[in-house]
Amino acid sequence: MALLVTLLLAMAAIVVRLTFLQVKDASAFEALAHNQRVRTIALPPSRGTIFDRNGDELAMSLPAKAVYADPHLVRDPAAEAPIVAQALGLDEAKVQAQLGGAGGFVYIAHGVDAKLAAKLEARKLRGIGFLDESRRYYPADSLAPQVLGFVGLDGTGLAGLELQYQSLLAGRAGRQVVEEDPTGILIPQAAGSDQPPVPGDDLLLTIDRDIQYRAQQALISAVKANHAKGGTVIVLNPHTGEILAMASYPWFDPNHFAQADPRAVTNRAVTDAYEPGSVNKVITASAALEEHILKLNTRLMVPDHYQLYTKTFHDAEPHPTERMTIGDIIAYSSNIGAIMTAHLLGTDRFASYLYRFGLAHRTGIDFPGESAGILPPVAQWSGTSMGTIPIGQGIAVTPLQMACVYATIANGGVWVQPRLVQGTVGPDGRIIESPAPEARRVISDQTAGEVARLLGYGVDVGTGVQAQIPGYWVAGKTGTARKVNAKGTGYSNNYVASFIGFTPASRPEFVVAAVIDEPATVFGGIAAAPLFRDVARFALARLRIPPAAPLAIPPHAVRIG
Amino acid sequence: MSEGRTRAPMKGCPSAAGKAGRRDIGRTAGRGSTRRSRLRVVAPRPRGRKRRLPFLVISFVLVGALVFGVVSLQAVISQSAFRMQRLEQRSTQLRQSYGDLKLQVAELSSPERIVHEARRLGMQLPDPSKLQTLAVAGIPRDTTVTRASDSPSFALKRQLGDAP
Repeated sequence: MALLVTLLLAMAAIVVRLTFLQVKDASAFEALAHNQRVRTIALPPSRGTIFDRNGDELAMSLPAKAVYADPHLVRDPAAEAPIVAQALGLDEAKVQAQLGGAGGFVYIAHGVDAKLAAKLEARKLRGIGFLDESRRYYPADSLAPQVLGFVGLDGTGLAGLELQYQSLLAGRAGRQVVEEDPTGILIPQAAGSDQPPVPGDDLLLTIDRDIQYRAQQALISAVKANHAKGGTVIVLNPHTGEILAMASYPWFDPNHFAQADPRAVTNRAVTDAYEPGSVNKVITASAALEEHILKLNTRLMVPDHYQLYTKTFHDAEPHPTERMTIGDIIAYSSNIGAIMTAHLLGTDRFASYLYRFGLAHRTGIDFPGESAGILPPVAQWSGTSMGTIPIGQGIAVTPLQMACVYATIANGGVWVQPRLVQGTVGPDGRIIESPAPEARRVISDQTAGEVARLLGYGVDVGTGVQAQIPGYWVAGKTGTARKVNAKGTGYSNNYVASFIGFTPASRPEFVVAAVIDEPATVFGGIAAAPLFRDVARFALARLRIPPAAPLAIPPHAVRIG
Repeated sequence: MSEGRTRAPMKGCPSAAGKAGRRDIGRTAGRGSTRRSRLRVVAPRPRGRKRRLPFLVISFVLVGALVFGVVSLQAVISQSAFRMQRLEQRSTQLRQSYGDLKLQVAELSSPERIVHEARRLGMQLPDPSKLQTLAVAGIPRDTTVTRASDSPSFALKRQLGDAP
């Protein structure tokens, strides 16, 4: 009888336990079993490639591995560290410290070449794991690094176009659910679901790789020749707003961005504003001609100094009072002539042209961190503002803004929004062109043609003679401006020299802006004009641009010096 | 009522009919065997075994074929799955190699490397002062700068780039 009772109790216990296992906790155990054998593998998307305008790769991604360690599982850090360090080219002591650490997870290396990682994986080291990721390569190294930007260890764009077009380039991660046996071998035909990754779109830039390279080489030569702190070059198609080259020195190698000087990472052509100096006189002249305040043959009596309230303005060189046309004023970069012209226009009309040419507004280029420059509202102008602003002082512009001013002249008076991206290429290989850039008329075609003649005359006989290119007519303007001191309370003894122009002058194909920061020789005609010439000469050959008709020399009255 | 008369077994009640039959047969055999010789006891026929054998054989063959088919199918599927895995691995390797080669081409064709190689071969850029520009009469052709979308090399690269 006792045996029967014992058996019955045992049976009852089994039934109760079975009920708990099979009924009450069934879903929990089912989930546990599922988690033991089912694994979700993250499938990283392939980041889009960045091409130049001719389809040459400027940035591309390849699959890579992240190598990590779980120090809890590493039995002998001293034995494993040399193997890992040697395979990955790392410091052995550092790796050993990581393997022997107290944490549960530590990255040993990122962006490891897949083949290298496969060799290390074959060693089946305990506690060493591998994760899929991709690595960004910039095959041309330091070519347009500030424009391209770079990506972080997690593949996210951190600067430049990599940041601007992050969502487009990144794509969408996929996942694969697989079942494995206890040894980690995939079970074929087991339940699983795949969500393939969506690759990022490719970017097709407006940059021409060869012009960019040549511009950078010319820039570094000019900076060194002038013992300067840095410099910027922009090559721009005035008709389409396409940037053919954009370089700032110093630069960096985006393949090793962690070692870059923070100053070198900034795309100063877009993000930094400077006092433009005399290159701003082109706006003064354009406004006067457009408003019919002056004609090309109107002569002004121009002294070499001008008193405006408490401040006396001077021309660069002393000279007796001269009769000058607007052609003379631009060609010889007369400060007093420009100030007198602006006064003839009046404050409001003059200010309206500054805005119409795009000053104080971001150009809207597809690049992060663009500066709008500084142009005080007319209501805040002081009594001397009509002395400083017409000659490009007391305001700040980016090199790109000023390049766009000259592009407006070169494009028959129509301002076109600059851009760096021509289009995108989707996974289906179809090219989607960027929307047409914004364009607006600033001055008439006739005025633009007249201003081009003034600028051409300036290169022919004026301050810009060093920008001449044999066989071609060049139109452009020099600029020399003092830099504001570090405290922002006044001017320092440092200068920015610039030359901005276009060629062929009678049928412009491109604009080149050359800016040299703190050159030993401060004049734009000496420090920056040769840089313009070097870049423009290469671009003419590269783009196979034939010489165009010569420009008609504008009426002129004097020759100073 | 005749004594030799047999009673017909009840329809639908074979056991009752059998017992009655056997009683009648005993009586009949004792009294007049010649007359009732047509009735005799027969052994039941082994009908079940003979009919079950073909059924078993057919069933065995069918089930066997079915099991063989399912197992073979599973084996083929598993084999294909393993083959697929191997091919996928191979495809990944080839994609990796293609990417490496593409990177190599991009690096080798970078302007800096071309300039370096050209210098190594003794080439140099021409002296700008020695360049002559010829004035040619006529209207210049369209010199619009190239676009990647128009470039045949880009189209080819896209094709290759899209290759799995």
